[in-house]
Amino acid sequence: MNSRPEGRGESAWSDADRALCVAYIDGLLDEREQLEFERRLSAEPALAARVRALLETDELLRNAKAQTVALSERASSRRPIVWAASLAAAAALLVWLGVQLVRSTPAARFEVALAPGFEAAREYAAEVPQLEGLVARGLENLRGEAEPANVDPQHFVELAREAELDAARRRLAQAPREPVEAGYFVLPLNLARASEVLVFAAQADRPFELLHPSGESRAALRLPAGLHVLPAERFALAGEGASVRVRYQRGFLTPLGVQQLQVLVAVRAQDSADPAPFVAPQGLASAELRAALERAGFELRELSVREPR
Amino acid sequence: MASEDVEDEALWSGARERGPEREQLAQLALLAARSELARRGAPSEELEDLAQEAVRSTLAYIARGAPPPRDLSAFLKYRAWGVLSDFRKRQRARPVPDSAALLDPPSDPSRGPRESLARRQLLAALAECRTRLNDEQRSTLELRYEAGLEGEAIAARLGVHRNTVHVRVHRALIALRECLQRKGLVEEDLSE
Repeated sequence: MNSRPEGRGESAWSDADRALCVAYIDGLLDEREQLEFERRLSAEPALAARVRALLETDELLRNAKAQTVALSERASSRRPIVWAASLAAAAALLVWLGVQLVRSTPAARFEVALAPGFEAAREYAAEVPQLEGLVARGLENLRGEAEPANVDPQHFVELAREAELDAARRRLAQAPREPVEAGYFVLPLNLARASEVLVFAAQADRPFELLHPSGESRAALRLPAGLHVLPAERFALAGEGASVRVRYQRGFLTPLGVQQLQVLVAVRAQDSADPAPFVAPQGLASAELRAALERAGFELRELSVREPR
Repeated sequence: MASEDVEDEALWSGARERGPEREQLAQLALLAARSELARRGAPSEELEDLAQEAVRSTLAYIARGAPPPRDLSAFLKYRAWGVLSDFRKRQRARPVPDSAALLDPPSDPSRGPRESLARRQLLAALAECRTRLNDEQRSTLELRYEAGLEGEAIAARLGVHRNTVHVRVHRALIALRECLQRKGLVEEDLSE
């Protein structure tokens, strides 16, 4: 797989491809043409980057237009007759809101899996083909002093993120409940809705303890819909300006001597009417904790990590 | 060829008929579509239907004997783009959406005052960048975004072929993107 940017000067694009890209983002291709074009996208990174740029700019322009229309409508709605209609609409909205408030929170719908982590960035990067041969500032000392940086840290982190999310998707699809044996681990998590998330862990015959988010508040993490890796994606940017570099994050630690760690993942769809996140209870036995979480509307999944022999 | 690529090819070929490979590929396609659709801002109430549409069309494509793509994960991600483009085309054909929802979208925990300010700056810069386009590009974008016309209608209005409209739109969008990049308001484009 080619993981480097393929610069393609503007003059290298044919008008046929330019027109095809716009027909694609406008939804004008039939299904067969679309799929053939997507096959090209998966083989031509420069073309895919171009389509992404077109999609994002098109969306920006459409949103700008929509907001302008909305503002002008809001200004014209100050006429009295429209005020009356607005009041009626507001009353209807209040009734609707009341109905929504008494409805139960929608199901969270999520998938979670375990994936092994690594102590060192070098070990992890060796497992990722997309990062092969790439050395970014912050990583070079882990790959030997003789290797100078050959990629911008931001680009490295973007590639690492794409690779990690791809791996997370595979893990979720192929082995969602399979235990892992690792000194560190991460949790690929796919949320169908914006949700509150808590992760607990317990050694044998001990109560669950809050693992994530860490910190004093014990408030549930609020995450948008989509794919995530907990506690964090492996590579992030650190520093500012000229000193920006990549930073490696190992994942959750499997404590020494634990033999087996039970991991409890609790997710509930975020209730937009509730301004504060749910706070994880303390000092409960495992069964009581599960019951408390379920009463609060959380869906639970249990996974298992073994300490490496 | 990497072992992962070989596995992907075997999965693709195996998915031509009912069986575990087909189930596995469907699951992979569903996850890829869900996460990409969420990332690209598909409405949450439509997300599941759109993801299912991505899976259905992928399996139909495989059943028709299509050869495996070079990068399966990337292909499944782009399938979500295609499904979303179709969906947005259908949306554009509908009456104007609720303006209050556009001005006051549902609260998103990832968006705060700083993000709102950044977005306003971006929109102001976008307006300024549009003034730098040439006349042909500017008029084409006005018909597309302000008048809400599709390619055929713009072509008829300007007396040019539809492909000419698409090429102008392409050049104009890229020029705007580059203008915003020079202002440091959007990231440099890298290969996917």
